[in-house]
Formats: sequence, structure tokens, C-alpha cells
Amino acid sequence: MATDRPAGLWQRLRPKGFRFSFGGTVMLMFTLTLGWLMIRFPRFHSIKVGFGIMLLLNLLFFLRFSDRPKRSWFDRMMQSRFFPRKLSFTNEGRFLVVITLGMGFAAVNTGSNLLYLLLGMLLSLITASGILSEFSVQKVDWVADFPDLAVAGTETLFPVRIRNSKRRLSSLSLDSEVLLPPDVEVRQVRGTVLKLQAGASDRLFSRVLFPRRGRYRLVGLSLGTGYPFSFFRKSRQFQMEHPVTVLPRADREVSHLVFALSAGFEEHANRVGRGQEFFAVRPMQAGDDWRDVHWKQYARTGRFSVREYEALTARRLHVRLASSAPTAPVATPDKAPDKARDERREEAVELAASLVRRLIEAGFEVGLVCPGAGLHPGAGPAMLKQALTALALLDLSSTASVPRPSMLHGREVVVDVDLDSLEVRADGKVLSGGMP
Amino acid sequence: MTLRLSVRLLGMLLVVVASLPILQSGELPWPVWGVVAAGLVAGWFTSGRPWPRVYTVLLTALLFVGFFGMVLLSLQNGEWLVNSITFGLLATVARTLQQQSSRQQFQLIALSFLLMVAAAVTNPDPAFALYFVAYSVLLTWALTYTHLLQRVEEAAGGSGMEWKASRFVSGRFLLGSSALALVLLASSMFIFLLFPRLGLGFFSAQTRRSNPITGFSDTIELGHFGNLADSTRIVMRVEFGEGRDYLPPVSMLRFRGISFETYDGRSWSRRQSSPRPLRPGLDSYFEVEATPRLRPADYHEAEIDIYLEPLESENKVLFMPVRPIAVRHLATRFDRFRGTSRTFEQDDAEDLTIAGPSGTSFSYTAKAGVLRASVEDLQSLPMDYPRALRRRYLQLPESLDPRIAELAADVAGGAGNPYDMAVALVDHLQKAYGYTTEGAGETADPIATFLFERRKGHCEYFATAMVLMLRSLGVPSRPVNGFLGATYNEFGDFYAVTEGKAHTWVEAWFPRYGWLTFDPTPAAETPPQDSGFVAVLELWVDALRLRWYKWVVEYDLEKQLAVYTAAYNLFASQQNQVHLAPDLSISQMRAEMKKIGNSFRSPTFLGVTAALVLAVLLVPLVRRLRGRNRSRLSRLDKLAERLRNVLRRKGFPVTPGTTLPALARAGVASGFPAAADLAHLVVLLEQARWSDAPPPSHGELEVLLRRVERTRPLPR
Repeated sequence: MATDRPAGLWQRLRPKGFRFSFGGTVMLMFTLTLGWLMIRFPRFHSIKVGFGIMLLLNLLFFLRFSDRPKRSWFDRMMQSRFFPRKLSFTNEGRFLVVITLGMGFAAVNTGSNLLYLLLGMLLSLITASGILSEFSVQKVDWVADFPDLAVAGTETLFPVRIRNSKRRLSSLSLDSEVLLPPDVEVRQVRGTVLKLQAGASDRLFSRVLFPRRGRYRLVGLSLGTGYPFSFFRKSRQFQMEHPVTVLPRADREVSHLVFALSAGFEEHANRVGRGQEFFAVRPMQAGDDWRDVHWKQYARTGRFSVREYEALTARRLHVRLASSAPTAPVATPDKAPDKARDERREEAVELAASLVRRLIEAGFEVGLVCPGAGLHPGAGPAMLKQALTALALLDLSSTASVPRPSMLHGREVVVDVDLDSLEVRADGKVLSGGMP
Repeated sequence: MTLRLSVRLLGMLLVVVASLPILQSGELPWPVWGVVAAGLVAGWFTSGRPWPRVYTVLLTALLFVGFFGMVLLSLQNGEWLVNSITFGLLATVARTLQQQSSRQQFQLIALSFLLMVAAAVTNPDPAFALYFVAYSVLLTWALTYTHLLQRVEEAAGGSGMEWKASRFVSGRFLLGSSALALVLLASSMFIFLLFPRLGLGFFSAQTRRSNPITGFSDTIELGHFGNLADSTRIVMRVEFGEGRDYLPPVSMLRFRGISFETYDGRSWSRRQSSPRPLRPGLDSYFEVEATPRLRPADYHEAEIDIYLEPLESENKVLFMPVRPIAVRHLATRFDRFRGTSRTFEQDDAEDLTIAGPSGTSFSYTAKAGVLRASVEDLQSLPMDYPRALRRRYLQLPESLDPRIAELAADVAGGAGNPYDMAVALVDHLQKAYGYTTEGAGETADPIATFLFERRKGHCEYFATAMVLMLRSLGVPSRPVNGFLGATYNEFGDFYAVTEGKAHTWVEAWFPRYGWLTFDPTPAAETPPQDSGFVAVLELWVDALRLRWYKWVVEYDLEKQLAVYTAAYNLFASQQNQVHLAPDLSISQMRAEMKKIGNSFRSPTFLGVTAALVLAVLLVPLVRRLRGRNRSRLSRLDKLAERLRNVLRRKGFPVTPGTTLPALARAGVASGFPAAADLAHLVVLLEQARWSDAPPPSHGELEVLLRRVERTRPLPR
């Protein structure tokens, strides 16, 4: 959070781009101490060498820091080009480290060699974990086949093809994790492969559950392993940019709305279609359904003919998502957004998405009008994807006006979904009462 | 067997193996072990089934109550260690009752490790090594299996399904995890050897349970040594240094302990005196004082390294060969870090003791003086004794049977000098009396009974009889308790002195030479040394025990430095060899350490280091180059990488995560002229790289790649 605190002396005097981290400050103090020791004891050359090394380290790692986003030195080291590994502790690993430190303390202070023996075993476990996990994750090639779309509140699979390029050693207990920016919260279950023999390939399926609709940016992929003891997870992290559009949930029960909206669309269109009324008979062609064969005509003429049905009139609807409130309040940094109102609006989006989906599945041509966006009516899966994508990217805090639906034909209905009350109206008539 | 059942079985085994050394230590009462055994059996049959929540809550509450009970009990009786271990055992048993998930399994493993820590504290016996090895192997298996179970649980998402262990664990897997266990063991030992032994001493030092030993208190009743004749408990182990040839045969080697001066007719006692520390001499030795002081020309020197077991007696006796000249610690430089620093002391009777903590073994080098005096020299010595000596060592009980003095006069009265008197008495006692380990029973005067009625007895009777007779003749003398003889252990190349070797002999004082040893006890009819399997096994176990105590339980900075320097000296040149003797001064030590610095600057070291660095840099490069040419997959990878580079140059949005199929789709969508060739190439490449299908010909792939390469780029 931004503060208006006046800049201190150092902030005003420091060269632009310079910043001392805590680690840098400690290291600098250590260097200065060595410098003092070097002057105090000029005969000890080892102090001079130590001072030189520390000075070099200071120059290399700390004095060149600029004001870039703050990351710990450990993170930076682990993700550097030379050390592309990340080590994280599991609960068991944390316990192991604590008990190892305790054991070391006890062994040093009692001089009990049997405790040293157990300490040696614990340190060996840690070392073996590090080495074996390294064997597991190294030389594993991967290709991410990530999907572009996901649905909020539903687990989506993020497949990664992996191949063990080692000549002899198997990779054991491999897992994959999709990396997102740190401020994004998702629920994720890592994909796991227990054993990947040398030269073999397999797939890892991470299961990610996005809580809300919107556009997400995947920033990388982590391939790791907890082998052999589950104490640590060693992973290799790869940067990759992959946008995912998370569609709103469209599984609300809206069949009563679809039924009510279908009521005005039974007029015959005087053309062939998939209606219920008989329209004409024509000679059978390849691909015609045998169930449509006109058997009486066949008996009379000896040639196959099929029935045709008359289409209904154009089933065209505009779903309009707007707020009935006069002006939508805008969230500002100093005014916390109304959480309940936001959740209600999200529900309205889900209601609209469900309505669009059910209407398109029922054969309607559906257009969408919402703040800052408008889609001409269309039918089929492509239209459904467009409409859901538009709803996924809908900015509810936007103050943009809701455009009027363009009426191309005479018989078109506008279905209004109120963002704030969840009320559904068709041509001004209330179909659903909205929120209780 | 299901994977879950295998994990449970391993958890149980870990608990059992970690509990056994505690059981062996005998620290906990038997009822506790009864509860533990019952709990483990119940755990085996119940842990697989889910428990009602109320039982879990009840068990947790019981554990809390148990914890507070343990604290209260410890506050009352001060037995924190025993009570904590008891509580830890009961908590572990409680955990074995519920083992349904990998998390609970990890908790059980952690608890079993804490039991192992308790075992390390309570049982430093060599058997701990066996338990440690078994525990390491089981731990590796248990951790690996539990890891597998955890991953399977994660993947299944709590579906409650069971999997056969054989689905995940093959013979090769078992072999691999066993090999891993061995590597872990070796690594543990390596770290154990290398971890610096610098103690801060906040807690108490490592201790071993001391064994009580009799015969070395201020007052002793006659007759107790006979009961020890069959004891095989080892008291000390001995290795010979310089001067071995001057020493008597091992069967005649005496380790002097404590002397007595006053006899009251039934028991011997010694006068209480405040001991004073020995004076430091040359070569880290502390000089033993003797009256009169021997002249260097009168004796040969012999060195003996003695490893004394932790002993519990009223006097902390320092056992020394006859006759002690000097003594030094085998390891003292860093003892103060461990709180085990001890000093040598000597009392008025010239007996040696150790001051300092007990509970650890103690090792030292004793320097013995072997007299050069001839029989004529000894015969020529007059009966001229200092008054203090006469007052102290000519004491006789008032109720002494007069027949004893008469017998002494009969046997040795004709001898013209004290030496001949002593020899005559030894000769008489050895020839006229028999040896038996049986006591004389309750008699008013045990020595009179021994000399005139029973005419047989063991060393204490013989020594007491001779001392009384010598004193009646006016020769200052005293009985000395110690050990006579040792058994050679061929497996460890040392001599073991057992409690059964406890012996009493006589010291008589002579001008110029001081106390000389005489042993009137006739040789016992000792059975020939057993050479059967059990005896050999015992020797082997004892050799192992010595090594275990020497190199594991009592491994310290001194020994660590010895290991380091030995390892260094293997590679160092002759002039840079380092020898860190315990008596080095700081400046000498610095000079020795400087040699190590010199070695690092030597051309050999620099050459080897450079070669190693080069190897580290070159080997991966060579392997990579060879691997690229040989592997089919690498060739295809190389082609895929080339394609990605080509497409990047053509303006395709190639990022590390973009797949080849995605690029092919992008080509079609953007109207790339060679989109069909690109799609074909990608299909062939993907099939070849990600399936076991036979690879397409390299020529075909190359042709397609060139076609893509020659096409104009995408419009910007």
C-alpha cells in the first residue's frame, strides 16, 4: 500500500537505483569488520584474503541491486541460470530440519558420540534426499499442452508431456505444477508419475481449480519430485507465458426460464427446418435418415422418398446484462468494494452464462449485451464460446454504458438480467424474481 | 500384501527395533514393557480400521494427562530421563493404534526416531551398533514406502482404495532401497568421523554405566577374592609399547591397585590420607613418587597402554604395572571440552588414584620400572628401616596367634638378610600349602586356621600369612590387591584383564630399592584355555567391544585429529608429514599445521587439483558431445530445436512453453505459405519423439524442414 511518508535522508541521498537489502547490510558489516581486523592484525594474510573475497561478494551481489521487485536472495539463486532449482520443505522436511538442529545441539553439548551417529544419519538422509531428487528431475524433457479455456469452480487438467532423457536412471515420483503470479490464488493438485524409466515418456496432469472467471496468466511450469523421502520437493522451474481464459460457471438451473422464453416462438417459417410440422416430400438422397422415409410413397412409386418438416420462425434472443441501479459504485483504493455486491454480480454473470448456454443448446440464436461489450446473435458452439468468453472478461466495475441490442428482425426478444437484483425480464415482463 | 499394510508393518518394526536397546539397558521397569508389548499387539490388529472420533479424542486426552503425570512424577522423584522415555514409549504405542494415513505413518517414524535417541542415551553397548544398522535399513524402507503411499493418496484424492504393494515395489526397487540404506549407513559413519568434536559442555558428558568392583575399598574382609575366580568381566585391556622384552611373561604381569597396612586379626584396612597430584615430568608424563627414589641405572623402562573400563569402587584406583615410574594420559588435550578431564593422585602409601568424573572409560600409558638388581645386591641390603616405615608396616594385631611368629622364625629365622627371609617364606608357603578358592568359613583367626589346620586357601590367605610372618621377623611389608595375568585376544591384538584375575600379593620394603614384590601363592591348577567356538566368539565380541568403545563411544577430538592426520599423511610428501602428538605446544602445533599449508602449495597438489578441475569441466562436455551423436532422441530433439529457431526467425511467437503443434496451428491460422509442410513435419516429429513408433527417415524430415526454412516469413 502506498504511503505518503516523507523520504528519509538515505532515500534522498542514495544514488538512483541503489538499495541495500538486509542480507546486504549484514554482509557489508561483516566486510567492514574484516577490514578492521586486517588493519589491526596486518600479519595475518588469511584475513586479507577473506576481506578481498567479501568485498568482491559485496560488489557482485549487493551493491548492484536496483529497485526491482523484491525477491529473496535464495529465490534469486535458485532461479538463476546456473542454479535452476527450487527447494521447498514439506511438513516432514521441516520436522526433519528441526530435529536435526536439535540433535546437533544435543550432540555438541553432551559429546555423546551415539548422538553424533544419529546426527550423521539425519544429515545423510538430507544429503541423499538432495542427490536422489536431483537424479530424478534432471534430464527430463517436457512439453506443456495447456488448454486456453477453463471453467471457474471446476477442475481443469493441465497436461504436460514428459520424457526421461537419461540413459540408465529412472525418474521417480515426478510431479508437475502450474505456476501463476504470486497474487493469484487457485487450488491445485499436482500431476504425478511414480516412475518414468530411462527413455520413456508419459503425461502429467495437474488439476487446477480457478475460483473466479477472468483472464489468468500462467507464468511457468514447475517439474519436481519429493523422492525419495518426502522431506523436500526439488523442482526445476521454467518460465513460460500462457494466458488462460476462465469462463464463468454455466450450470445453473434455468430450464424454467428457457421454457418460458420458448413460448413465443411457435410460428411457422414456411421453409424447411427441424420443426415438428410436415412440410413436403422429396426423393431420398445419400445421408438422409431412414426414419424419415415416406413408406406410403415408396409403396406407390417404388422409389424412396423422405418427409421434410417446416422450420419454426427465427428463435432469436438478446441477453442483456445491466444494472438497474442508476450509477454503479466504483471501487477506489481508499474505498473498499462491497464484497456482497460483487458476489451478487458474479452470480448474475453465472446466471446469464447459464441462460446463454441453455438457450443456444435449445437452438436459439442468442446475442449478448453487457457493459462495454456486445455480440450479435448467433448459434452453435462457436457462439457459445464467444458469449462465455465475453462474460469471462466482463469488467463489473466498468462504468461503460450498455449498448442497445441491434434489432435486425421484427420478432426479437431482449432478456434482461439485472446485475444487482438477479431479476430476469423478457421484454419488460418479469420471468424470475431475482434474489430472495 | 497391500501398500498400506507394508507401511504399517515397517512402522511397527521400526518401533520394535528402536525399543529393544532401551529394553536391554534395563532402565525401565518391566510393567512398562508389558504395556508396550500389549499396545503393539493391539496396534497391529486395530490400526488398519478407522476409529470413531470419540476414541481419538479420548486417546489424545489420555496422552495429555500422561504428559502432565510424567512432569509431576519427575518433579517428585527427579527421574526426568526415565519418565520421559516411558512417556515417549507410551505415546509411540498410542500412535501405532492409528495408522490409516501416510501422515500418521510419518509421525510414527518420527516417534521411533526419538526412541532411538533415548536408546543412544541409555545403552552405549556395542549391541547398539546392531540396532542402529537394522534401524537404518528399516528407516530407509519405511520412508520410501511411506513416500509412495503419500503420492498414491494424493493422486487418489482420498478414495479409500487399496493397492497391492507389488504394483509399486518390485524386486529391483527393494534391491535399490537396500543399497540406498547401505549408502546411508556409510555416509552416516563418514559424517560421524568428520563432524568436529568441539563440545560446549552445556549438558553432561557422555557416560557409560560403571561396573562395581570389590577389593579396592579402604577395608576388606579376607575371603572375597575367592568368589571372583570365575568372573570373566573385563576390567581393563592392555597393549604393550616400548620395553616389552624387559617385562615378565603376561601370565606373571601384575597390575597393582591398592595396598593395606593395618591387620586386626580378620580384615585389612588402610589409613585415610589426602592424596596429592602427581608432578608433571618429561614427555607429558607425571612422575610417580617413591621412597627411596630409584636411580635410572637400577631399572629398565617399559611402556604399557591401559584402557580401563568404567569401574565403581570406593577408591578410584589407578591400576599400574609393578613397579610404576610414571604415567600419562592417552588423550587429555580436549578432555576439558567434554568435561572428562582427570588428574593422577598419589597418597601416603604411594598408591595411585584418579580424580575426576566417573562413568567413562579411561586410558593411559604407564611406565614401569623393571629392576636390574641381582640376588646378591638384594641379599646385601641391611635391615635398616626408617622409623615411620617401621611404625606403619610392622604393625601386628594384639591377638595374633604366637604360633605364626614361631613358624616364621622356624622357616626364615636362619636367613641372614631380609631378602632371604622373604624368599624362604615364599618357598615354604608355596610348597607346604595348597590352593583353593573356597573360603575358610567363620573362624576366630582365619590365618591361624589357614596355617595350622586347613593348610589351603587362596591368595589373600597366603599374602596375609606372609605379611604377618615378615612383620614378626621385623621386615616392613604389606598386602597389595591388584590383577595378575591377562588373556591375549588375537582378534584385537590386545591383552584383556578380567575380574577373575584379581589377586593379592606381598610387598616388602628394602633400602635403596623400596617396595619389592613377593608372591607366596602357589600356582592354581588352572584349566587349559578354552579354544571352542564359544570362547573364540567371546574373544571376537570383546575385540569388537573395545573397538566400539574406542572408536565410537569415546571417539573424541584427539582421535579425530589422528584420523585426519593419518588421512593427510597418506598423500603428503615425507617432509610435509604431520604428527600431532598430545603434548605439542601451541607453537609446535602451528608449525605442524604450516606443513599442511606447504602441501597445498606443492606442485603435486596444484597439478592434481588442476587435473580434477579440468576433469569436472571436460567430462560433461565430452559426454554431451558423445550423447548427441549416439541417441536417436537427441537427434530428433536437435531437429525440433532447429525448427523452433527457424519459426522464431519467421516471426512465429515462440516461447519456452509453446508446443510444436501450437506453432503448426498458428501457421495455418496466420496463412503461413508452408503451413502444410510445417504441419506434416510437426506430426512426424511429435510421433517420433513421444511414441515408440519407428522414426521417420532423417532425409524426409530434413526436406520438410528446408521447405519451411525457404518460405518467406510471416508479415509483421
